[in-house]
Amino acid sequence: MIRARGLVKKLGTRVVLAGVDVDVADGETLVLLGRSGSGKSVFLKHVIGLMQADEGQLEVLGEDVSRAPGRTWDRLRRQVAMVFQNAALFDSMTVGNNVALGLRHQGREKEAAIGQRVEECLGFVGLTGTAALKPASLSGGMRKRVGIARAIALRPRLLLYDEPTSGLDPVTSDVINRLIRRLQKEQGVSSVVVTHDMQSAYAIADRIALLHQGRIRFTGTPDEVRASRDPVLRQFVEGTSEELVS
Amino acid sequence: MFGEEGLVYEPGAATAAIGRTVLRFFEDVGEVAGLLVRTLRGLPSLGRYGHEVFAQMFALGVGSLPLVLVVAVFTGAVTAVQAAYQLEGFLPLRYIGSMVQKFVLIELGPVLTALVVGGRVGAAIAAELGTMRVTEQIDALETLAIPPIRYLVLPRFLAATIMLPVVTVFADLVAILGGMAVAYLSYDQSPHAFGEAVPNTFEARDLFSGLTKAAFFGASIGLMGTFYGFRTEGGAEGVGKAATQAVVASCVLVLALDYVLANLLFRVQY
Repeated sequence: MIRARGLVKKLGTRVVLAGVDVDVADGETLVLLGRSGSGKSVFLKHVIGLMQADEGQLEVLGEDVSRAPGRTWDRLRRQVAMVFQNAALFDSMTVGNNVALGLRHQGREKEAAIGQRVEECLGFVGLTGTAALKPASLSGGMRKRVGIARAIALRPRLLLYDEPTSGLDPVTSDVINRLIRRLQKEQGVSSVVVTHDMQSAYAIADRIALLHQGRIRFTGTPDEVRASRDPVLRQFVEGTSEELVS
Repeated sequence: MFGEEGLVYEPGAATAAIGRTVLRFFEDVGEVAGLLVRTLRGLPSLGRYGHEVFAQMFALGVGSLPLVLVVAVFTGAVTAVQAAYQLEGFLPLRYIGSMVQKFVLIELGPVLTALVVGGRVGAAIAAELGTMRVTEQIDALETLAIPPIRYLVLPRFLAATIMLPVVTVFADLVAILGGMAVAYLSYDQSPHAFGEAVPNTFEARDLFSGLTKAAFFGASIGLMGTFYGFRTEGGAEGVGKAATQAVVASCVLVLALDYVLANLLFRVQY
């Protein structure tokens, strides 16, 4: 699904990604951990073509996208979708139109079929009957779920989640975690989830990777994370700020 | 140049600052030109985004009419007063109508309408797109394989280009009526006498040249609003800054273009 080798990205003079090597297998959920500003979201933006690496190689769905032109991304974005940290819903549109926008733009389906797909996606995230509402009238958890409904409307094979549970209460976070799991099990969707939330990471991950100082420092299953003695990983997992390990 | 110990002289610092400003200006000009080219390249796909163009035409054009008409009526009124002052002692006051329509059609109608619309619409476009930028809505569009330039910039650019001449026609009409009211109330010139003087000096070229200017002004307003909106950074502060920059740039560009177009459209050969 994803294969990154030596991915380097500089923003101004700051090196954000200093040679990232990571793989995501078909149907797998990889959770990407890292401190704020460690480049997790920047990595996601490379995978969906919002940013281009300065050096290194990146393959998405078997295609080398390291220097891919716009046409390649137009095709790939029908199979790769992203759920944004603050949902990034279009506030001028209703919830239904937010979910339908990508489908309408593709122009492959008739309006009745689009309406049916919108209801199906909203039903999947537990928001049946909200199509006519405006995003401004929704709670944070509902907005995130609409963001997921919009992302799955195009039936992607790969889903990228940027902090899907940030700012949510534990119960709503669990709802989102279950949705991510269901998407993987029922629809075989592969996922990369960027998060700081360890409870969420253990609940959804097949593998967990730690991005530290621009490189992948650790990769392993949730059990391997629990057993690891790596001081940087332990510090992150336990949330300790004393004697910062560099 | 200001150190902890007060004013410190740094050789070359002022020159470097001026150099940076000039470079940034040319960088911006290049980026605006790039945006214009990419926007115009989207014209073949207009059919797909036609509904967005109509929505923007309504929002930008119809929404601006009330304010434009208020400004127009006072513009016409002031022009009548100024015309009477300039005519006094040279020509009979019955020529007020001729002067008002000439001033309004070739200069005041298009320029003042553009400045008013530039303030209102330029800021609105920059604030809307700027908010979309900082809340990742523009990124979200891209991830749905929807090109933001075609979906967001092209409709606003076209709507502003088309609607500014339309709004200017209404502004011209209302300004002339405003001038007519002042001529009647203040200078005892009947609407009949005012109207009779108009055809003597009316030239269709004036009207069309004025509307051509308005179309260019509309394009500048649309372009500046979308340019500054698209490159917004930061949060609310960045959005406010983008709106201000869009208004300032629109107004400066309108006045600069006015000079260039005046030379092209109205230059007298001698």
